[in-house]
Amino acid sequence: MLLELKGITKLFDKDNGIRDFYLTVAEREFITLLGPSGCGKTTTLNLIGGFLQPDRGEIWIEGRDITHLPPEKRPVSTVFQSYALFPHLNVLENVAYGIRFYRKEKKKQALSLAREYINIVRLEGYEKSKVGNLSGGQQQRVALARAMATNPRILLLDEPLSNLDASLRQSLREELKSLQRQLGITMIFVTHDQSEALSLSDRIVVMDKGYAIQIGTPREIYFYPISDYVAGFIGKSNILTRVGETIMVRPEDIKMAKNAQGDYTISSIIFMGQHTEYIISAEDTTLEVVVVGKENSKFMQGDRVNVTITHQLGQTGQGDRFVVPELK
Amino acid sequence: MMKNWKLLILAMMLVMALALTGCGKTEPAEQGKTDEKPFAGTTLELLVAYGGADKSFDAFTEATGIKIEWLEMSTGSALAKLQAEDGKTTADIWFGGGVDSYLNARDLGYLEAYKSPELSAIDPQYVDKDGYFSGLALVPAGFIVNEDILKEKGLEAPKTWEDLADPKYRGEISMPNPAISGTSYAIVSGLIQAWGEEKAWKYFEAFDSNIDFYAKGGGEPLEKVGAGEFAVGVVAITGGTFNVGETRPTRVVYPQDLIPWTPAPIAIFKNTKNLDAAKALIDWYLSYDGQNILREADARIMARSDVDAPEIMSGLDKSKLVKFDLERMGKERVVILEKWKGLVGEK
Amino acid sequence: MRCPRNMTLLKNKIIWKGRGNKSPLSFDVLIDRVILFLVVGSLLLFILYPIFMVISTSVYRHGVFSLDNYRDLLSPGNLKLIKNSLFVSTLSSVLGTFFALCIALYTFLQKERIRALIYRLLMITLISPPFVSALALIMLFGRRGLITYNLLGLSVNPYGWQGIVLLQTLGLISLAAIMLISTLNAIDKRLILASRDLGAGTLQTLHRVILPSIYPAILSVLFLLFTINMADFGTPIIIGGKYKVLATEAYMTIFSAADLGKAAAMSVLLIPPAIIAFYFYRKNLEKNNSLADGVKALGGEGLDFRLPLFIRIALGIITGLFFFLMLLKYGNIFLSAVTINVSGKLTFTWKHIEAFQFAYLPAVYRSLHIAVIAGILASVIGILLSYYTHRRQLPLMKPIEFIASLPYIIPGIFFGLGYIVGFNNHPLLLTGTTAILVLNCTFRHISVGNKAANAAFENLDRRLEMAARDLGASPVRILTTVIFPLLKSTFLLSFINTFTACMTTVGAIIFLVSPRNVVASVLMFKDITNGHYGLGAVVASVLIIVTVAVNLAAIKYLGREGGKQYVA
Repeated sequence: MLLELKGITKLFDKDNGIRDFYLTVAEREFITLLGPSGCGKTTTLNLIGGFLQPDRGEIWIEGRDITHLPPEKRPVSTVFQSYALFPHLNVLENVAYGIRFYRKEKKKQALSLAREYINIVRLEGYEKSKVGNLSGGQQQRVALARAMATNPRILLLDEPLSNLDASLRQSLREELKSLQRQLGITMIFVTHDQSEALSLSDRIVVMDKGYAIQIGTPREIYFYPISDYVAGFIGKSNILTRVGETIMVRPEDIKMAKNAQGDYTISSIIFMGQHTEYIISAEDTTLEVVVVGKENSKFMQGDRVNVTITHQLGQTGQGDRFVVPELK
Repeated sequence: MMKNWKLLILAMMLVMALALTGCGKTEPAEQGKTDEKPFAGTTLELLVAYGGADKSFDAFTEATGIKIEWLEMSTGSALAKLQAEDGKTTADIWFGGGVDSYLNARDLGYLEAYKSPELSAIDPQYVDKDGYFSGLALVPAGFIVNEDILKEKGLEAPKTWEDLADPKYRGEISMPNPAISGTSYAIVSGLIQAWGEEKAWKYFEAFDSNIDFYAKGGGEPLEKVGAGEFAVGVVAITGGTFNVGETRPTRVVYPQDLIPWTPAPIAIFKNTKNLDAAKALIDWYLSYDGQNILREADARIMARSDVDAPEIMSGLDKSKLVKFDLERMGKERVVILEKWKGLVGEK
Repeated sequence: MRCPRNMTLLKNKIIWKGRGNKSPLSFDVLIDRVILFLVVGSLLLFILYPIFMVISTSVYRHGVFSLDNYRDLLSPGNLKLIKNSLFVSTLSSVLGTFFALCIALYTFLQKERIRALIYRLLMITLISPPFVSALALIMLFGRRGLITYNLLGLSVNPYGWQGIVLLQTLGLISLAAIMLISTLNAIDKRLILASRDLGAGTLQTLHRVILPSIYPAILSVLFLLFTINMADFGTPIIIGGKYKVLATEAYMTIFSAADLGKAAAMSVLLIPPAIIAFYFYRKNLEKNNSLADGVKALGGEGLDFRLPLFIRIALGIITGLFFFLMLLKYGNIFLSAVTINVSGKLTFTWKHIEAFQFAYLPAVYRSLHIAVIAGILASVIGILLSYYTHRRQLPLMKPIEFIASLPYIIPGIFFGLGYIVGFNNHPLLLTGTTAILVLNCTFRHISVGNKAANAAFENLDRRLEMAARDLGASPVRILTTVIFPLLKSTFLLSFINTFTACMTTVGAIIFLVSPRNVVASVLMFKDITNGHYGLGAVVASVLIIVTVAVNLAAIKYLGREGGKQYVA
């Protein structure tokens, strides 16, 4: 294993921090830490980066305990939220910084190596620019190049796309993924955006209140969440009560069929082109249904329908417990 | 840019290191080879409270080869500094100022005794009997008046100490606080010694009612009378006192009843590293030549009886000088000042 | 993104295991510890130890413990002094703050160009050699003042508490106004627009929005002025006449009674009110900072905010009058350098300048030398102290930071006394050296750079340091490659403050000078107390010109924005 977190606990106070955190990361893996703000994502990243010392537990990289190594000695690099580029240095100097201090290259060699990384992130021509004069997307690329330039074994990314507008975020997301595939860099990525998590990750760690609630591939997380918290945080879900049991169902796992005696009535329709969202209601339940295709967009308000459930996420038992169906 | 900051840090550490190790070493004195100038190349440090004395330093250096570094400092400050340093001053010589501070410093053990062979030509009244200090010159006390202001107020210049107590001078007199100025204290002590306790204190009471406030430095009355803020100043009379009259409408007045005075002393600090050179300096300044040169630098009545009084001071009637017991003056200082404070109160 | 043309880049993997095996006490870490040790050690040695020594002279007499000096400390006479001190300090501080507020408001409402001009003039009037400034005003407004007597035919007696209050008020307006202008500029202009939008008139907006939002700053200025005025002995000496205050009497006790112990005990009396005032100053300053936090300030450009005419006129008159007085003051100093005042008539003379040429140039050079080194050292140490205290959050640094602010509170002369008492013996034999002057000037002014750095760090993203460490820089490298370059303007600000103060300081170093290491400001003081006002004015003029020149050079070399911010 490339990285192992063994029972890490770091508490700032009773409610803040992470508890008993286990995670193993394989070479070339893309791991996403996903959760709402305050769940401990960034804390986890800072522990791996060495900016925080855990109260308990160990961090191992390539079979070596690095728990007590200072950040400047760890083979990991971070792309910080809002990038933390050095405002007094230009693009080239920013990228060369780690090559000089981490890789201990001479200044001249560092600058020429830095140029190659600037080329990788396609910023040729901006070498001498002050980082303050760059656009958000360009700054993001500088931050990425700077972090990669130390040849880290693991690249840590703290919400690197959150400061960008939607379309730029989309395209950078794709570039990041292809870069990771091509160069085979192991990445740990922090986000609160579920679509980023689902589209980029090999595996996702869903976090809440300092705990890693579930670790799994995007498919596992989406289709087989282990709790209603996970189900609710990623994607939409309907809560449906049937004789004595309560189950959760994704809107797209419900099929509708027109039936004059149907249990449900269509109460509102949102046509999105690619898909159509319906709100249907019976006496005591309201469900959201998402369907695709032209045929499925033809239901009218007031139509009565029957529903078929094609996949259910699980059954809620008492309290938080959640009964998960077997993996298929 | 990075380089600059590294340099700065380095420089800072260097400065710290220098500061910690102390960079105040004196250069070793070169041993002069000629017999005439055995101390050539030595540097002496002087604390000076003798206005104009610096004009004589070049002549001294030429004659002896000894270099001089000096700082003007009132004797009160110098004594405070000596106490704070516990006598470990870097200065070698104390030159001029209030004799009461010298007495104090002597009693605290900060001075080196030295009886110069030249003392034979000097009135023992001016010299400490154990040789802890010697008198360079005589500084009489008197008045400086601003003629313009006197005319404007329709006043005559005061002639005697008694005159100063006349209510017509109310608010027009400036005199330094005797607790601060050696001259002022010499006046108070001198009048007490001349008149006796009772008469003197009665006089001070009347005098005090004419004073708005006592000046906080010996030089203040001179400047304030020169600038016309006060009509009369009670001052030490030296060449500098006369010099003010060259540019300002002031005139020096010797009191006609009696003249308190103090010697301008010179002494060697016990902590000196250049004792022999310091002795040479004292010898030179007490010698006939040295006394004459010092008189040129600042016109005063010199301690040596064979050196004539400067021309501008020819008006001084030496017979009016108070018979002064320096020891008594020193001993009574605390008591007199305490009583003085009780008399004048907040002024 | 594209794949690198050759993959050598990535094959060239760092063998980090080898690096990781190095002992944790690498050279850079060692340097970091050494710097920390030097900072803390020097603060203890050059601030705490001398202060301790001063206090110990008041309780030890010839090696015997005695509280004699404290026995009649609260005698009726001393209580009167305390009362006087509190009275004049309070009055001067209130008046000074009020007029400074008027000037700050006036400046705030001007166009950018005039604002910048007033700000610069205020910066220049900060350079005010002690004693000379007071004397200049006596010469203008005293019994034979050029204005009061020659022009108006009045004979005003300036000696007394009125004179002290007048001079102390005038003396600190520049500092107070600069601090208040900075605060006003930090107000979110949208608040003002919103207030106007919601129907408040300009006067109501001033009353309900502007003044309340700078209220903590006003209070902190007030307390700062109070602290400075309490410790001021120079003004009362010159203009107090028979009105005596505690600082002056403590100072005089040293000379008249040659009684250090008693003087030290009296100065101890000054410390509690100063610490209380300083505490409120800091508290309000923090409140002020948190107020400005996260509020985006808009430029004042295009803000149409007109107070009623009579208020504008009143503010304008106060501002104009202040600068007129300053013009008179500086004009008088320069004029006195080349004239002689004969009962109110001025005559031109070269005499003073000639006298200056001969003896004073080495001292001016030495002053410059000392002030530059002290300016650099104080700024570097102030920034480092802030870094270790607030950035690295090392334990026990908060009390150390408080120690660093002590010399700012206690009267300078006692800080100087502490040096002479503390450093007159081996292995700390520093008396008579230039080093003792440098150290005294440096450690007296750590507080300014420290406070400025604290404010700067508030606005500096912590992630910059994390990034630098992440990229392999050790703590020392971070200092040299990130912290100091980014704090350039803080450094500049601190340097200018310390440099200016050191060039003109007298009280703290008057006992530290010896024939070998005399500086210009002390010579100026001697000349003035000896009545050679003309010569003193030459020295003062030279000091003012040199200080302005060095400050301008520093601003030019170190950056553009430096002169704009001022944190006290």
